[in-house]
Amino acid sequence: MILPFYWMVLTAFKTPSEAISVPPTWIPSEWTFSNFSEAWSKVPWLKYFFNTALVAVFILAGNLLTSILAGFAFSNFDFKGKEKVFLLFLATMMIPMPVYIIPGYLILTYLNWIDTYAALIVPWTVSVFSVFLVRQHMKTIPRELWDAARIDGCGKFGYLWRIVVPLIKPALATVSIFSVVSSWNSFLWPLVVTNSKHLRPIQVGLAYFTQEQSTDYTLLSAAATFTALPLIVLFLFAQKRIINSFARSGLKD
Amino acid sequence: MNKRFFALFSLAVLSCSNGQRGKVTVTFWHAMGGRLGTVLDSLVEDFNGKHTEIRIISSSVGNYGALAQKLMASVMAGKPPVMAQSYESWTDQFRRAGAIVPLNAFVESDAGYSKDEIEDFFRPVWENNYWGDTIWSMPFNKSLGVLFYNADFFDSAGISFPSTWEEMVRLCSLFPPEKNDYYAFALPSNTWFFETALFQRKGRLLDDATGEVYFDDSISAQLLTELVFLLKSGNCRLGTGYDGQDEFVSGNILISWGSVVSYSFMAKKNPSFRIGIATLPAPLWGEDVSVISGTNIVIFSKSSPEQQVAAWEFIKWFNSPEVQAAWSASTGYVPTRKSSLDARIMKSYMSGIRGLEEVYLKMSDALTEPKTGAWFAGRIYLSRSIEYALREVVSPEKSLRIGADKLRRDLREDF
Repeated sequence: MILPFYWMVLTAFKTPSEAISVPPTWIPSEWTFSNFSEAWSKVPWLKYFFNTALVAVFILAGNLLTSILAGFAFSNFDFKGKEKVFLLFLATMMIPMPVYIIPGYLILTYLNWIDTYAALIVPWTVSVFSVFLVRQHMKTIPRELWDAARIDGCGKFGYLWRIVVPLIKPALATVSIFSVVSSWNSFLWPLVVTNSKHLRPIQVGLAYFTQEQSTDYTLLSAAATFTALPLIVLFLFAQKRIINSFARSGLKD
Repeated sequence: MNKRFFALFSLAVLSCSNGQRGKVTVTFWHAMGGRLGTVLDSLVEDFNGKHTEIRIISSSVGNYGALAQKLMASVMAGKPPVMAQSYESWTDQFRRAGAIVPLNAFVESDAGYSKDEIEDFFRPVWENNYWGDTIWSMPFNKSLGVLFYNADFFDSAGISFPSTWEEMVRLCSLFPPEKNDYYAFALPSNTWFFETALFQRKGRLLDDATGEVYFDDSISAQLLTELVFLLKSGNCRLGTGYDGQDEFVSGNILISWGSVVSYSFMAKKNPSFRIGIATLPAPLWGEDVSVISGTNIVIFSKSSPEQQVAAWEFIKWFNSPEVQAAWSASTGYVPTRKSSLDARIMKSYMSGIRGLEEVYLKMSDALTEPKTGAWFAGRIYLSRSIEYALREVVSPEKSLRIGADKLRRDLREDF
């Protein structure tokens, strides 16, 4: 797992010719620090970082809210056709992105949201995978807790926020990580739904170094290194919770 | 529209917009990213500075795949840009949908082109914008598929670059990889390369008029079989996309395929040798032709008459010999005008790259890909057929037949 990161960081310090030399070198023969300054100067990174962070935060908030509410409904409520609706929900995960780009664009045009932050945020505030994960965790909570809460006079929302949510924190941490990583890596959607440069995220900035004709590996690696840093830090902080979450998600159907 | 009326109309709408509503804003979506996008943006800024009544807003979508999706979606939503880059197969779909305007009125107006000016365009670059008598697009960025070679190696070995395909195959056998640290040739799994080799052998891909698909016929199958055999001989290595270029720059390959635009990208990686450029050598019995690739510009019909006139102004400016020379020297794209080659900036650019001028001069006789809308998918089918055969997943005949049959199924809707 470390090797790709090692390779990325080391390539960022190589000269263009050394980066593509065969056999490859494990340590740069000549340390080139200018790749970082050159990569930084080519793209308005601060603006792109701001956009990406803003979009990631709002999508995360939306994701947490929708997955908690939907997961709670699917795990705790009994209603007609619940399993079928849930299966239908899951089935949407099989639809590849290019298929819904055009319908999505049409809806956003109808709402007059093209080239706005809303186009980057709102469509992604619901994640079926997050709903699935949260629902699975909620199903592991014993029914007796709900009975006890009800005896103490707790309503459904009180039970959800005071008892269920604290118990599924590992799942919510996982949802958060996946949501932030997904927002961080978003590329095609922002290109399609925005026209203005000032709305573009960091992945579009990274694409500056990859052309149809060639890839500038040293500058791309330098840019990838400093754009990946926030995610690596986030992952290190949340690592334990993610592992806990996966370990628990298989306890009960 | 008659010429005088058009000229007066253009003048009227531009002066009206200038006086009463400010600048005419023209949105321009393109796929030029990175360094190419920076060059285009600087040209757009130059145009905007010189045309105070027009403002071109250039928006890069980064790559052709995203641009295609975005354009299709925006056309369906009824909100396309004023103008955009468009491959011929996209243009065909747009014109059938009534999404773009024919440009005959602009071309034939006083603000259009004289006969001499039209003849100054490289013939295939100009003609490729016509469907029947109607011109639906104007040339934008054009490139040729070429071979890059290690000029220093050839000079020191006292070998001239192969002038025929037979010599090329012989050259590969002269430098077997087991005796050297390099391969003679990175044979690309690339549609453009295959098309060039096929046209040189008088093969065909698709008839735009009838929708007949040919790329699974005996000529195509024989060519692909020959390429598979060349790989099996061990004297060439398979290259996908442009990866052969990096190995070429690092000196592990003597000859590599790429777009003529790739030169500037390879030069930036500081190769330790001089790079020469040549077109793909044709078989002795074949035709010495190359294939042009690249996009054109279309104007969408949802735009206002003022915007269409302003868009035409930009398109004409962009296709002027001077701007084309600057564009070409900065990016490596082939200029659309022959007279651009006489510009000082072009002379200087071409003099630094061995073989480049000869390559550019072949533009007049170059061929183009099919223009039918279905070719957008057909090109992908052919690409897969080539790759599956070269990787020996299926036989060349079967692989081409699978791809061609898929295209035939798609074409049934159009013909």
